[in-house]
Amino acid sequence: MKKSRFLALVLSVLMAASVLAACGGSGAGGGVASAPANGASGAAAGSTAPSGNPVNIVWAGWSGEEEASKEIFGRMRGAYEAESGNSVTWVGWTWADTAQQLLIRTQGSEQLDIAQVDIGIFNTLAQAGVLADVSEILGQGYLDSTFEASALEVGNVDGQQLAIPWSMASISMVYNPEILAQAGWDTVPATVEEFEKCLADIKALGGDVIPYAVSTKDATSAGDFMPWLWTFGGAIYGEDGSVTINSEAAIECIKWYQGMLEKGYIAMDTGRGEARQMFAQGKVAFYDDAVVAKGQAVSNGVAPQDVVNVCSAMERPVLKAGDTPQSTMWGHMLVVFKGSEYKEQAAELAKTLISDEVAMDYFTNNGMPPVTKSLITSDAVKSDAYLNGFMQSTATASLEETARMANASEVKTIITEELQAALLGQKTAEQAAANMESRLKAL
Amino acid sequence: MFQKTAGFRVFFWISLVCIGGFIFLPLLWMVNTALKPQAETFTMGFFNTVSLENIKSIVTNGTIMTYLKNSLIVSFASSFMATLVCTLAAYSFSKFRYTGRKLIMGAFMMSQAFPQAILLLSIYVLMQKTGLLGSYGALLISYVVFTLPVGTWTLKSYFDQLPDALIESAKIDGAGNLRIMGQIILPMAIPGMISVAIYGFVWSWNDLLYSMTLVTDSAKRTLASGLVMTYLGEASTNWGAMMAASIVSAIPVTIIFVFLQRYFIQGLTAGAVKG
Repeated sequence: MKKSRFLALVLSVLMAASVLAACGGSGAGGGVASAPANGASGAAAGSTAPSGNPVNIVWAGWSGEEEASKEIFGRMRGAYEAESGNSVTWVGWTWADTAQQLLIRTQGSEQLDIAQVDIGIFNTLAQAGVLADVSEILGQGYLDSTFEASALEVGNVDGQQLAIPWSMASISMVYNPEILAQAGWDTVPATVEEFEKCLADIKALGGDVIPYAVSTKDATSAGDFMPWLWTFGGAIYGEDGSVTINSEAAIECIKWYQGMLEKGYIAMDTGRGEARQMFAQGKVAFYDDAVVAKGQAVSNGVAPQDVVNVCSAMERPVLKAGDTPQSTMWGHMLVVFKGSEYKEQAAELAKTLISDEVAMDYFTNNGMPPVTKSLITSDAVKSDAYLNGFMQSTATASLEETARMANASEVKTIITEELQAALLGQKTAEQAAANMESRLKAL
Repeated sequence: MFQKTAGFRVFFWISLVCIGGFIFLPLLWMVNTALKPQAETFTMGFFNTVSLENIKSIVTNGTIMTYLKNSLIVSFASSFMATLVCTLAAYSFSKFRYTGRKLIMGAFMMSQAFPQAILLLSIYVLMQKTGLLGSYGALLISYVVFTLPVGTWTLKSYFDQLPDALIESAKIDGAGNLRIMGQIILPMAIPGMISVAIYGFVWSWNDLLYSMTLVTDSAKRTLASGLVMTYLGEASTNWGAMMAASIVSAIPVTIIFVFLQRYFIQGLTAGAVKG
């Protein structure tokens, strides 16, 4: 008993000390997040002007948490703070958690002025009705003179401009030129038929290279499937919103997937994350990704200027020559919150972030493509070989069919599950397409 | 109870290997991944090339060590507070009779039936209104709340075992309620209290959702959310370092459990057998 009493005493002292430390620790910085450290010298800001008393605005997102962009985000905040006299508090989460956390924060009425969102997150927030119409803050004239109409369209919901484009391109097909060269391909395949021949040549090389790491699991599987479905002439929904996935085109597309798996061109249990990592290690010849693919290559030791040698973007092969290459839109946007007390200051921060110098800093050091008219036509951007491949696909890119749907994740889950069942041989292509349709109709 | 026949032995060993495989293979794979060079993260190699680069990068990373320190503070503190509150509540439920006792006991148990994620928004608003958001205090209170149902019921079972005659004798000798509890009951309930403390510690140590939501200042982040923030990116995930960090983060819990497992099991099984 003595031993256990002694043990209990030691534990109690330790725990009591922790309580004291915890209470003591929460005193000074009991707020949400401490003011950010100003970044290094940083790029100069855009057209922000000091106005009124300095205020603190809260900017949320995920990239400011990531090693690859942490410093750049520090410089961005520093640029705005120096120019405006206001301070910026950064609040960050992981990319995957950002939508949920933003909603919790808005529901909790915690200060939140501006956030970085991607296309998927944007829809969730837009549906929640928490976003401000930025055209009312910045003026439609400013937006029209700064961005192409197609870029603005992505952030426009029912006539309201709920997001400012920040960095946009498409999710394109990415390939490893070195592997293609080994397989005897100096040019990229332009049609599905050529693509299959190319995959066969890569497969014939032997080794443990996956010719095409198309996503076959999680939500990215439905994301990769969609542009292929369009390539085959199908669609999930018709123009009137009715479910049209049980079509000959969809069945043909699923059969094509099944054939590729049978021949060993694609692999099961491959998600975007695995594809990225294996591609960066030279074990994948093709896969689908956004411009952020560069980050993985760089973190695997490839010099930024050499990335294009092992990781290039291409247009998705078409069913027959003359068809439009398909790809889905990808991008990061900036949103200002309806409940913010500092909407104008938040919009000024957004202007700083898209200003030429700050956006070029982001592009040069992180590869994030700028979206303003002034920069997309600049030589520095046009001459970037890595980005060019993506920009070609972007010209014909479309939003995912689920991009404006509140139940997008449910739709994607159904498509993924049925596609997986077809690939695993549990269902025929016809059954999978029919089940996709019946399940989507039941939603 | 079982005849140790050859058939039983075969069944026993096959079951043991299967269950052991399910439990230990993921852990072994975690160690394997942590010890692989980054270029081999996605290979199926099993301890082919051992590299300490991931482990080294973790233990020399000051930010990770800050997360570790924060986790230790929060976990020990919430464990202490939870044990204290659970002990008082359980003692009350076990040894006193008052109106509404069963209802409150039922409510305690009912609260365990709700997924923690559902309570997140209301707890978030509560913390925001009380100014605790972003502080360790927010985490401490949340963790105590989640430890309370299981902890209270565990300790109640423990207190139920202690004969009321002990309390009656002490009362006859002139001891008050506080003295009875402090000098007679609590010393006998130490194993139960330790099991609740361990439960509370492990709960708060492993929590990701609340620590990510209630604390956004990186200087106050706990290990679980800190690791996810550090290694899970939009475009890239450093699985090797993540696994190495997971091993490091499992060490304190493992040490505590190894030393106190006797009390943990004793505390949890109290009242399980009547006699």
